[in-house]
Amino acid sequence: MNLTPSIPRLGRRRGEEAAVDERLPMVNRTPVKSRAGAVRRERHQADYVILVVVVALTALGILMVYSSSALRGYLSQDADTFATVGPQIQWAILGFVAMAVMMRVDYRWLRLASLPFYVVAIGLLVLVFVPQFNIVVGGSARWLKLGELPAIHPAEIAKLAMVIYLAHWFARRGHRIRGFWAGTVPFLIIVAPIIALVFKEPDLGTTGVLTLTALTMFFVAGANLFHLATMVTGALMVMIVVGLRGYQLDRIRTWQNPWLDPLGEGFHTVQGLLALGVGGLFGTGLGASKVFVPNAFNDFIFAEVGQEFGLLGSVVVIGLFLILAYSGVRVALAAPDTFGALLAAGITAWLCLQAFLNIGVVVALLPITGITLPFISAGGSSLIISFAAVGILLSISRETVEKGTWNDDATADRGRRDGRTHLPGARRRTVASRPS
Amino acid sequence: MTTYLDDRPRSVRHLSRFVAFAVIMLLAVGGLTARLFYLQIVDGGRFASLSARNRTVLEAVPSPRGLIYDRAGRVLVTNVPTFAVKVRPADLPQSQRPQVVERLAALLDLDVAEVNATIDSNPGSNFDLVRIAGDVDERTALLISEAGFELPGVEIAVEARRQYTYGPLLSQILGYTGPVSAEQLPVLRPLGYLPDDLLGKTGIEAEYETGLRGTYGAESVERDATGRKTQVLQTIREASPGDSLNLTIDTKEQKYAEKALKWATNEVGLKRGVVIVMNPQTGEVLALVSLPTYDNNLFARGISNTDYQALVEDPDKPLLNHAIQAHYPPGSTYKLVAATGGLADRKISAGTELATKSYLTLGDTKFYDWNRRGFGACNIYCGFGHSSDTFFFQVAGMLGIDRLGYWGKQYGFGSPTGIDLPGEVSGIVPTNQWKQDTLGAPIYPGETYQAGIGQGYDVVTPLQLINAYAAMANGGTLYQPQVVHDIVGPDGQVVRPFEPRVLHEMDVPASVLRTMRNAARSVVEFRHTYNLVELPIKVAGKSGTAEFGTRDKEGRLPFHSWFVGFVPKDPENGSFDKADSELVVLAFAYDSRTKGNVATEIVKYYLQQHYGIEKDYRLPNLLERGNFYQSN
Repeated sequence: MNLTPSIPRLGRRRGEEAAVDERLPMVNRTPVKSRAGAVRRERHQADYVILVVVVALTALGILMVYSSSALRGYLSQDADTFATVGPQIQWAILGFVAMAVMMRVDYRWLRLASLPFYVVAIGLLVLVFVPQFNIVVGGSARWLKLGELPAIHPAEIAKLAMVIYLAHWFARRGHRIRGFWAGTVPFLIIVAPIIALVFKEPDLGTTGVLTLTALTMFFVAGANLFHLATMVTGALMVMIVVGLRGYQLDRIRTWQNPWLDPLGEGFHTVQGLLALGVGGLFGTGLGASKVFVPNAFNDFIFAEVGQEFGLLGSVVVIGLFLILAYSGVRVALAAPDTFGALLAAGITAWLCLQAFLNIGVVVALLPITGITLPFISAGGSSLIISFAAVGILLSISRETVEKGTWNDDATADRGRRDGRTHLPGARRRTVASRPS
Repeated sequence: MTTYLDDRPRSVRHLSRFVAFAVIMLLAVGGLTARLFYLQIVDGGRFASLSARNRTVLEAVPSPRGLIYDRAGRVLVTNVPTFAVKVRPADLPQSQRPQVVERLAALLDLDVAEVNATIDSNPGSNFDLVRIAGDVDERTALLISEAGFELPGVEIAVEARRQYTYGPLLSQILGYTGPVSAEQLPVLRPLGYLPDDLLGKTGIEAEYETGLRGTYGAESVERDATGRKTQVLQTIREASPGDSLNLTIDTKEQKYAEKALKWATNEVGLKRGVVIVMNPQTGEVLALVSLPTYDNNLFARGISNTDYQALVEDPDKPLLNHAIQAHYPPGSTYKLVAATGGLADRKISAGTELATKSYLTLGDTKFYDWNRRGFGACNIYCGFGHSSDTFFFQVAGMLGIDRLGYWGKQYGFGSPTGIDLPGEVSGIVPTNQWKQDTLGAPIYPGETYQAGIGQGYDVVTPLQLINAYAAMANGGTLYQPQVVHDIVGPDGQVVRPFEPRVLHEMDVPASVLRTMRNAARSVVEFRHTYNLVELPIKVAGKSGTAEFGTRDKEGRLPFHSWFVGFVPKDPENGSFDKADSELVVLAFAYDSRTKGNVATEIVKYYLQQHYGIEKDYRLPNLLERGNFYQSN
């Protein structure tokens, strides 16, 4: 507990900010409103709220992974309680380094890397289907093992690659995104390979996260709402058709009523619900769980949080993700260019959607899909990539334009003609810009 | 709002859409929070009480294994509750394991290494129970369950053990149950077997495993932190008891048969022998004794390694059912095949007389009759009745090996009879094709002669032989022998009633088999079987002496003795013209080397008991060792 009194904000100057106060950067980041209409760009501290949220989630994750895997590790051959959490800590440290690096890199460089990165991600997803390289778990080939490297989860890399490339592409397209042939169709062609490959693994949960993230980005970038609505309807139809077949139908049925088969199909769901119920308001206490939760250090870690820390703990986790979403949207709105805004929105959408989908499964609002809770679930690929994504988000947050940002920019145009910013796309419009 | 933004063509970022996105996120969080509030607070109490301080596990509920009765309704096997000690490795902390295993071994009087090996060879997962010992006495069981905290991971389970009422008498038929082995588990696991489960290993227990086992139930069970069952939450599936079996075996007849066989084996000093009693009209097996035998209760209790090794290493193979799982040369009993074939193929007729000299010459080799004087001109009654070898050498020669083989197969030789017991072997009926396939050479004429008298390549199981005589006695229907009469479900309804199963109708005129039955009677009437004819009942049959192995220093071969006899429906006044016999008996004595035919004496003794004949017709002096080539 920090017993030292908080330092008055007034006395602080740049260079004295080594001790990070989470409130401080907020001050820095708030752009000074100016009615002059001139755009003032600022380079300043990153949005440390995001950093604090992510570190808090990761720390809680390590705690919960340890709590739920220690006994299992102890009972295994080498009686190692750190068998699962040890690597998780190492991954977290590596992830932190990745975040620190990405944070310092100007995110605009990512535009150069976006296409190659996207192609590499698709290549890795294809490699998953090569028997020499993949690791099949429970009938799904999701892991890639290349030589001596630790096994990686290409779908995680694909998420980041897709978000970066879509942001780049949307930003370049500008207004033409509203068109059917210029916007909607190319968008579908871009996302189709990644989504199809992940679906084929099969990894329904990640397919869902990718689809929702892409649609959200498309929406935010200014998609034609009619096209978007048609696509969403189409996607829902596909889901229904796919979902009404074979074992997926069983899953749906189990989801509808897990108590039908509480020790077979519905086992995960029921144990998750029991764990949450046992947790109550304050929880059983760390390490004192009473209900066995299968996959407790992975997909169902949220049930373990709810059990050991109660409603308070689970609401804190959800709240942290909400803060992440809020901060992410703020970063997007304040970003100096369209690419940054869309990238920030995409990363925020991805991490938060994945979190809410995961939690939705645990609370039995969604059928079991098997996705991780970002920063909390055990898993190296997920952790590193999520951290790198947050690093990018922080990098964007280091630059803001004053004045909201929704009528921005393309820096190259700034200062010409009426002193306003123009986009290449906008310039071709027949209607000249009106003063606002 | 969109329209507002659309009015501003330079805008690429749509504020409203970012806001909409944020609102959706907020709604999601709101929904999840509400749901969590419901689950953890509103409905939480119910869940909490369901699982407070307990854990729920799915447990299989073993179904009571089906019982087995004999044809008179005598209980042959019951289920007795016993205590078993089991270990759940996941609950046994590694650090404490040495002490726990040491204490456990001391309590159970086992070797520490043995207990460790059992735990380590656990075929299932760490959460599956490993059976350390079964049939533990009550005191030890109580002691172990009291010491729960000092023996973490050790559990006492009540399990039903099979108790075989008659033990060794029926071991060869009933078989026994035993633990699932590590090799079997992957196959059996999907069928609902547990790693510490028991299943039928041999005999009827194995053959009728599925029915006897029934269907295991499942229930969700609440266990407290120490693993004790506190309550059954929900029965997911009721255990359904196994089916009961009513055997065709009559324990009384089985006892007669065993008594007869044991008398002879003790008298002579034999080790191996078989007696089978069947009803030729239906294929029902009334008694089936194979010596030496073993006690299946030893296995049901969990046989010790030393006991098991002793049984496995015994040269007389007590674990083998010699009636079906081993084959032997049939000797003169096989002349039935040559005789039937000769008559049916019209090589000879009932009246055809063949010269029976002391030997037959084939090339440079002389084929001697067992009687060096021969029997002169002989028809089928004389040839079969005196068991003349030279008579059947000639008949076999006329038939040729392939026709002889055809008639052997007509009688069911060369393929398993299909009896409902596991491990039956098929025996060998030599033909040109068979020898070409297995030895790569055609049959030589001398081998045909040998095949005609049941020597050479001919080997049969005792069950095949009695089944062949049963077909002759019932007028030409080859039945599949059965030991299980009917199957009764747990509700008392007959699941499968008895019905005779016909393997095939023999391709032979009824007159031929009538001739053969009368020829078999002449075996008895010619006193080839000594005083069997004096019995107050009418018996027909055929004896056999089958040489095997290697000659001793006087050039003599050891031999087995066979006798198959049958009695007409009316045992005193019946006629062998009719095919109405309901009793056929076979005796087989391995490596008998007696003066007389010991098998005939065994059958005689059995028949005396079966028909309650007061006077004892047995001739113990025939059971002395020695005197080869006396009774063929």
